[in-house]
Amino acid sequence: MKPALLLMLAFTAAGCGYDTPETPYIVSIDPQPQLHDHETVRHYSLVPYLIRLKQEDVRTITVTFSRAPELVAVGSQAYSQYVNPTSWELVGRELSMKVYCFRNDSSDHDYEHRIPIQWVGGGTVIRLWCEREERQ
Amino acid sequence: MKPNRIFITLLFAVLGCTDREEELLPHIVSIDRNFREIDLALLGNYWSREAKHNNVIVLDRGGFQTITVIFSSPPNNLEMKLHDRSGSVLDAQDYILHGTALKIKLYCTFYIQGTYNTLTIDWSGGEGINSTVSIPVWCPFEDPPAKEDR
Repeated sequence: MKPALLLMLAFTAAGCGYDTPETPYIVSIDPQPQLHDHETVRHYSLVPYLIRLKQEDVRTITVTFSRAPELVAVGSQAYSQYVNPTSWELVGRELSMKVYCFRNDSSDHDYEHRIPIQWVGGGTVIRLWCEREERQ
Repeated sequence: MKPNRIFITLLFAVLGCTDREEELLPHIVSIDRNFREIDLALLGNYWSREAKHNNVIVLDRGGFQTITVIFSSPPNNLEMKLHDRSGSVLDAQDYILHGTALKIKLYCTFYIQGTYNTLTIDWSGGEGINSTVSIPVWCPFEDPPAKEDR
C-alpha cells in the first residue's frame, strides 16, 4: 500500500475516533468497607458495605484511583453531620480524607453516613457507620 | 507526496473530524439489563398510580447489579440520582463512564424492596445543551407481573 493511502486512512481513523482516555476508577479503599449485617443497616442502608468507626475515632480514609482523577466534589449527605470529612487532599492517584466519628445527639440509633465522591466520568459513595458507645 | 494527494489526505482528515462534531447532544442507544414490559393493571392501585411507565428495569433481590447504558457518543457532565417513590433522593450511585458506555452499580436492599424507584440521568453535549432521562427501576419483593403472564 502506498504511503499516501496509509496516511489517508490513518488521518481518517484519527478523525473519526473518539477521544476516550480511560476514566479513572477506584482501585482500593483503605480501610476496606465490610459487609455489616446489623438490622438497622439491612433496613436503611442502600448498600450494606460500610467502614465501621467507634465514637471519638479519628480515621484517615484513603481512596486510590487507577489514575489521577479530576475531582468534582467530595461532600456529605443526610445523616452525615457527625462524620463529614474534616479535611481531604488529593495527591496524584490518592485521595485522603480525615473523618471524625462524633456523636453528641440523644438518639439511640446508629446511622449510616455517606461521603459522596464525584470525579469527571464517575462517582461513588463511601459509607460509614459511626457506632456510639454503649450507655451505662 | 504530490499536492493533490496532500489535499485529499487533509480532506479525509477534516471529514473524519466533522463527523465527530455533528452530534451536539448524545442520545441513549441501549440499556442492557432486564428492561422489560410489565402490566401496570396488575400492580395494584398503589403502584399503578406511582408507575408512569410500564417499561421498567427489574432488579434481582440483594447483591450488586450493573446496568449498562450505551450512548451514541460520549456525554459530558453526567449526574445520577436514584429517587424513591416519594421523590426524595435515596443516594448517589456508583457509576463510571467508559467512552460511550455508562455502567451504573445498584444494590436492591431491604429498604427499597417492593418499591418502584426512578433512576435519573442528566448529561450534556456541546454548546451547553442538556438532556435527562428517568428510568423506572423495580426493586422486587417479587417480580411485578409481566404483560405476557396475564
